Amino acid sequence: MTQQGVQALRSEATFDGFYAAQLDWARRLTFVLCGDSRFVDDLVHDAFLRLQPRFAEIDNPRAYLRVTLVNAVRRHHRRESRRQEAQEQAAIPTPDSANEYDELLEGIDRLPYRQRAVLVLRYFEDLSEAEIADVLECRPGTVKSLASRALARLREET
Amino acid sequence: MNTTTDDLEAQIRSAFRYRADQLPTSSGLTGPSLVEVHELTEPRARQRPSPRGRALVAAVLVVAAVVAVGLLVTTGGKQQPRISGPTASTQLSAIPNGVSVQQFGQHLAFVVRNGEHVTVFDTNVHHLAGEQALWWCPREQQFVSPTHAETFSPSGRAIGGPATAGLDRMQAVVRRGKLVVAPTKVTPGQKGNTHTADGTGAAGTGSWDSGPGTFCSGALKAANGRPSSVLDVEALASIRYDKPVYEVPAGLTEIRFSGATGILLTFDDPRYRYCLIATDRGAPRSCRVYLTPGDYLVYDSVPGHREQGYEATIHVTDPLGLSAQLYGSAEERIGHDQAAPGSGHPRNTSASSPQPRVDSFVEGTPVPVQSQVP
Repeated sequence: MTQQGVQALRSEATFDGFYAAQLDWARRLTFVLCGDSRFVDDLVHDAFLRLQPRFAEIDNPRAYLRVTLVNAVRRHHRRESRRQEAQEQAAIPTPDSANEYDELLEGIDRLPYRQRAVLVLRYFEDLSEAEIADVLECRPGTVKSLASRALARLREET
Repeated sequence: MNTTTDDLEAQIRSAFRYRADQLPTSSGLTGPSLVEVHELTEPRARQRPSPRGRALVAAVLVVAAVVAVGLLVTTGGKQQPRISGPTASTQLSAIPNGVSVQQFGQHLAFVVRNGEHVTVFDTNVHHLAGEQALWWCPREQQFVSPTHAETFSPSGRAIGGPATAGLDRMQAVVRRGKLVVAPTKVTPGQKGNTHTADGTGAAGTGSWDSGPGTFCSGALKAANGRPSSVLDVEALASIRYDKPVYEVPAGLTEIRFSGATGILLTFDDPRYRYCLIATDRGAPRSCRVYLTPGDYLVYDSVPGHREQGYEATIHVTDPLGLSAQLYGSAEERIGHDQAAPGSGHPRNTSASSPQPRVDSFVEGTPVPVQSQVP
């Protein structure tokens, strides 16, 4: 292992080092899941806050943080869904210039949350079905069917 | 539009990367978190579990009961380390190798860890009246009870002073990566005193822990019993604690924390980091620390919070001026056990130093450990 690699590992052994190393990844994952940049920093901050007291006793803090973020976005999604007004405010701002991915992303945002989470974990995080099942606390077969339904719906829409 | 699965998957990957790249840079933590904002504006309604949720909970309870009965049956004939009475536990990984102070329930204890071998010493030294504090001297590698100048080896044997037995141990066991301690179940220390302590140590001249080079400088200190003071700290939503400076008399202090949710409090001094309290529900909201005169920085260890303002000083006073006293030999100390009410012991003279010294205590300092987890 290189000197820098060793230093990076050492720095991640502390919570501050882990925070510094994983913040960008956590924000990107949260944004892809949530779709609204206004809530990203709060959701990420709260996830780190939940992790911090348990940091020393967790073997894989990144995996723990991933689960925390997925659950935090799900709670956020539920809360926003309940409040129609807030939901309208939380709609993804339309960019000035249309992009080839906008239609597809809008379709993904309309998917039920678990289907959307499966797509994000599979195609953004590159997790296996078993790993996704661990994050979502379901069986691998459920992951497969959620992904299949999500892809079918997107195919219909596009 | 007809798209094959591979095409769609590739598009989804690209779309996610595109979205992630659109994320603005972090604006930093500028205020209370989302959770706090929601709690401030509308208290969370207690959610009643759905019928499906209730059925799930019932199923889990049944399975847990079956597993528990199975475990009882399968382990009935084996000798399992057992401890009795109320227990408190902490993750073993959170305890550094060497000697550290930890809190189990309301009890402070010295934990001597050498890998998986752990010994938990009670800080009460009962041999003579009035002795409640116990110090660990990192340089001398000894425990000392300061009021009567008793010294003990890292394994708890009495090696100097009037002690007639070693340090008492709390029942403890390591179970599934956790150190489980029964603070109320104490095994008496080994009888006898070898009187092998270096005479220049405990019996040395000058006050203990009164600066670099003095006996037991940089000591790690703990005590039990009734706290001599209670310090209430409130976290305000305006990103600060309720006071910039708190003042308490020296001795065992109980810190109670309340206020805005999601805020932590811990010590800058690594010796007191075991005191990590939070305002969240379910998290520890109070801790006990044995403080000697000086200033101690406390802060919120959530990244960014300290910089924003969650930082304060605990100014520990020495109301009776006992820290100015200097003591000579150990013989003079013996019998001079009139510890100030609320100050725990009169030996400390660290009032002259603005910050508690931490240079001579290194977390993880290896010590020989002769005892093992029972």
